[in-house]
Amino acid sequence: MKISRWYYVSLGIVYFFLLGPFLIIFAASFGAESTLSFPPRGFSLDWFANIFANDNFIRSFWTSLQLGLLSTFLSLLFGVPVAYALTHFDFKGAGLVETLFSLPILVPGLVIGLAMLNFFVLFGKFDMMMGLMAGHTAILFPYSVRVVSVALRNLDPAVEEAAVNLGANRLRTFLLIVLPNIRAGIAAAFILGFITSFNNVPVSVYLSAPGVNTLPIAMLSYMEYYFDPTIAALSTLLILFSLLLVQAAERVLGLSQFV
Amino acid sequence: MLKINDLRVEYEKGVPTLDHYDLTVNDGELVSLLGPSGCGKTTTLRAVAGFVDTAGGHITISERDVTKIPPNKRDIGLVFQSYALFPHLTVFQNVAFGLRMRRISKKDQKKRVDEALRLVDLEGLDQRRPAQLSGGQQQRVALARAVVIEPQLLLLDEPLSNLDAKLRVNMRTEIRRLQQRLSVTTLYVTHDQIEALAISDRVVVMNQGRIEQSGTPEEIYKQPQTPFVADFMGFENHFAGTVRAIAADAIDVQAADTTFKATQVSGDLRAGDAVWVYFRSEAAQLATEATPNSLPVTVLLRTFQGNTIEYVIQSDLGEFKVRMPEDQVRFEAGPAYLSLNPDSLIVMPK
Repeated sequence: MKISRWYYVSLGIVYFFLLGPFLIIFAASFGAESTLSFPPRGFSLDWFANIFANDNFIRSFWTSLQLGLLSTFLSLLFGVPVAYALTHFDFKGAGLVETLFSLPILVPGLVIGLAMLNFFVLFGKFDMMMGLMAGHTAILFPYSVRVVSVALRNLDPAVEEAAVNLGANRLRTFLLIVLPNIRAGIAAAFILGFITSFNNVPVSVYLSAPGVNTLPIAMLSYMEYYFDPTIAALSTLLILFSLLLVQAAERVLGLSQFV
Repeated sequence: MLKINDLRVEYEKGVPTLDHYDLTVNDGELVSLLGPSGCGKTTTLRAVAGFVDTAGGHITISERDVTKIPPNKRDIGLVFQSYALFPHLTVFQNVAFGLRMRRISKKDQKKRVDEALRLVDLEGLDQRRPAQLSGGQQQRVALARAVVIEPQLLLLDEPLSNLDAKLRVNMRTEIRRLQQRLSVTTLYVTHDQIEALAISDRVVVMNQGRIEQSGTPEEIYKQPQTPFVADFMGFENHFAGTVRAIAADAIDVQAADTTFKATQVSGDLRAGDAVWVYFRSEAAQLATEATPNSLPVTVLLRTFQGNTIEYVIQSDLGEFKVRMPEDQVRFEAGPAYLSLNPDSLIVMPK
């Protein structure tokens, strides 16, 4: 009995600190006053309207959306072949390759952003969007490799051998047999990658410029000047957006088996 | 016909798993490779299928040297231990896969798949997915998929080990019937001696990458030629002795103070050679008085085993097990004689 009581108490503490801030933000976004406060006084949806009136938010939302989709796609385009090689070939230095590919997870985002910025500045003129894309692709790549590797390892190697034995070459085996069976893993990697890119601050902060902004950066700079519930309203929308995405993925794919 | 000549396989450089390995499977013959895990039987099968690189030797299928030919061009039907069905394809698509890779017309694909499914009694299940089938049904799909391409050679890698005991016996008979109807040359890998004896034209017993003995199921069961084969085929008892004399039809072996006559001899023996003498527990008899070819023993334990009674006995030559029909005279713990028929004693060089 004692153990189970402590179990619930600690679970309660964890939930309080994890979810508490979200609930406060959620409540604050409906407040009527012009400063962010809790508990909110009055009720208003003005702050939600305010989001859509702000050009910078709208523009940076589209930038983030494009950036998220494209960089996730690119990270998979490079990540799937690497995962395939890591799971199918026993080559010298496979361990080193795996470590190298996980560097973007281990190195702090701020360091990566700074390094990327210096790297691009070396080339002189560069397109801001291209820079962001390269930076995000680099940080998503290890996630793609990991998640797709798990999916590949879950597929019985004999299934591929059966296809080869029946006359399929390596490419056809991959396209006709392997790919359809790791669909769920690839979709999981896509959703994780997209959310990671969409929420990223440390890399984006170095690689964005006044014209090209991601949504989190736009929110940061907005907060430097204003402290009204608009940010809370926007956060509420973003939390709902992420939740919907993850829920849909869990429902359709069983996302949790890959992470 | 499958011919393996002087095959060498190394997983680790310089350490051969198989070396100087020769094997022939004649047209329409079913040969099983039998042995404990790690004996090289699966390696042999995978080398024939092309999934293992060879370090020397030749593999020939129907006069065609396939040693350097990639696995997708060998034209071999293969049934895996795990069945390895394509999870995302229907039964029909699974079976049709090999035909599709061979660019057979849609119409002919349908005809041949239907026929193959009929052959394995799976008519009407062609639109199911593998996950919706029982283990036995999955096994049949795997069989149909392997034979529908009309391969020159059929390989089966422990195909029954994932089935329960009753189903295993049924499937064993069905595989054998199918193989005979198609008269396809077949190599069958198993670690189960009863399965190997029941299904094969010829059994090849392997140990540590070498062939210990090759012969018909009866030869393997009744006349093992090495201690390994005798142990593996269930000869529970053996003792050491020395050859005394050799006649045309029998051999005299002395062990302790007794001279035994034996008729089953493997290998070239001369008087004075040290030998092993093997016998099965059910081939020995307990008796109340000494007879020719008998040995004084002490009965230690008697256990009831249904239609047989098993005795554990002690003698100067060691501890033995004897199994006698349940309806015969029972022996109590104490002195008795162990009587051994000369035809049931297998003598082999030590």
